[in-house]
Amino acid sequence: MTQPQDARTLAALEEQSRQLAHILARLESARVALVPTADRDWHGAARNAFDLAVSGLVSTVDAGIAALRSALFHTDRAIAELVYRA
Amino acid sequence: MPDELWISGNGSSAVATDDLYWASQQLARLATEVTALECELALVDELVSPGEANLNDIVLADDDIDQARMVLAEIQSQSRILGFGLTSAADGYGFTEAFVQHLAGGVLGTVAGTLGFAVPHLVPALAGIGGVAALAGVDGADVSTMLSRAAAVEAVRAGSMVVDDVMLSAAGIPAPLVGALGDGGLDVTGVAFGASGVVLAGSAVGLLRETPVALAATTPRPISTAPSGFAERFERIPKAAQQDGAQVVIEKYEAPGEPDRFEVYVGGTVTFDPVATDEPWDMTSNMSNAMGGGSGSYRSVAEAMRLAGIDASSPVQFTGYSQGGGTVAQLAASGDYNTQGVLTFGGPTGQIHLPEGVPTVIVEHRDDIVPALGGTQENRSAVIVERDVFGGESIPQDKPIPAHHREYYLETARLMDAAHSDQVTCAIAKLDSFAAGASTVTSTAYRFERVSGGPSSGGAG
Repeated sequence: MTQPQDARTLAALEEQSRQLAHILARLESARVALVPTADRDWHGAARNAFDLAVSGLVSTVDAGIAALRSALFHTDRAIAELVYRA
Repeated sequence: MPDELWISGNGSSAVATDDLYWASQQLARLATEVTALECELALVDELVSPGEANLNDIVLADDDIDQARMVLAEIQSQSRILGFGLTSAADGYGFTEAFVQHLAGGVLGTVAGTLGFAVPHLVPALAGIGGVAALAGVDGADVSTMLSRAAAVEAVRAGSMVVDDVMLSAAGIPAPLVGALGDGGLDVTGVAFGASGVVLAGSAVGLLRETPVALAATTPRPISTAPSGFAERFERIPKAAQQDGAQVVIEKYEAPGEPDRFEVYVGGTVTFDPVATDEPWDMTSNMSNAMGGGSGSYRSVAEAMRLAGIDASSPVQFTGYSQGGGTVAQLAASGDYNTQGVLTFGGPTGQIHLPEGVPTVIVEHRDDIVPALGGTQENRSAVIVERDVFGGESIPQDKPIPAHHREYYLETARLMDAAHSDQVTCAIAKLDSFAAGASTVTSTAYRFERVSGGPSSGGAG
């Protein structure tokens, strides 16, 4: 039987999981729609500098996505553990 | 690049490609979205304490959330810095371009105002150069190619701005006074003054003489919907040489309980003959438009508008190509109409003061000398879209001034319809909204002719 404290934690973890999934989906959409793509017409040093900066930005967004996925993974594992305990 | 659109104006000094503006706007939206996500993640971080339930996964999830919050803050920072870099580049390019234009204008004005006395002596020299060029086998295609180079177009634009200085100097006016009267000073001379001098000289030998105009024919057009987008608007501009000679098309949009709205489309020059015959869309009208309103084409459009039922209070939107662009700009600038929007393609509009606060889009090719003949583009509140049609590519030899041709402006209009930046998409949304809710759309084409037998005087002739 689930302890009252575990029940409260379980509810909070389930809410955390839902919110993390929502935030993750929005960040993944932003990566597709809002990070400038590389098919630009300009050339030269400015283009190279821009490409480098965008590449850095993409890496940072991917790091954010990875951190959120990991947070979601551990949240769901914590939920499973609490359910197993009960 | 031939497909690149350069955008400026819109109340800003920045100049950039549609692509660059779009990237900058995407980055601003990314920063806004990530800021919102970071706020939501901060609330998520409060839901569960790391020590709750004595579970290692809760601690690890909390660490990941903290890590994600730091990364989101970093994304915000990177996207804002990159966006700032792009807008700064646009501002810097715009500032440099304006500065160089101002500097070049000042230097050219001073030189023109000082050396104008030499003009009478230059005429035989220029004639000699022309003769030598002809003998050397320089043909029309070579001249056309030369005139399609961006540098030559800029030279023509600068030349248009100093014709008045040269004329005043040639008339013996001292250089300091020439400078004070010109566009760098009191601005009482300028392109219109220069054009007046050319018309005056031309009329002395029977050229560029205005005449009355009269309606020759009207024809209904099979149009039942209002236009959508730049290309569709451009295609509705009449092609006098191909379509019954009509030079003006007026669409009427009716909706119950609302005043009738009108869109006026005006075509380009039909004949370049400097002697006014029966065609009002001629070189005489081009020069008269450069002087101000009152050309044969201007009076024809004004008459067509009157016949269509347009009065001073009727909401009206103007679209014109080439001479039609200059004509609609003069009509909008006249203040005689309730102008709700202006769209010009390849028109000499630079020195025509268009009303501010009205959605206006000016489209010019950087390798087209026709808009350059209108002088420096001063309508900075309008959205100005430029394109280098033959940038880095071979210039067609089979057409005079190829970058001015309709097919290339239609291409540009299509590129504008595919553009992403807010500057272009908001501008067309405003122009398209003009006819929103219209339940009946009718279209009529008008053909006008010059009437010989005396000089013109106001009205339709």
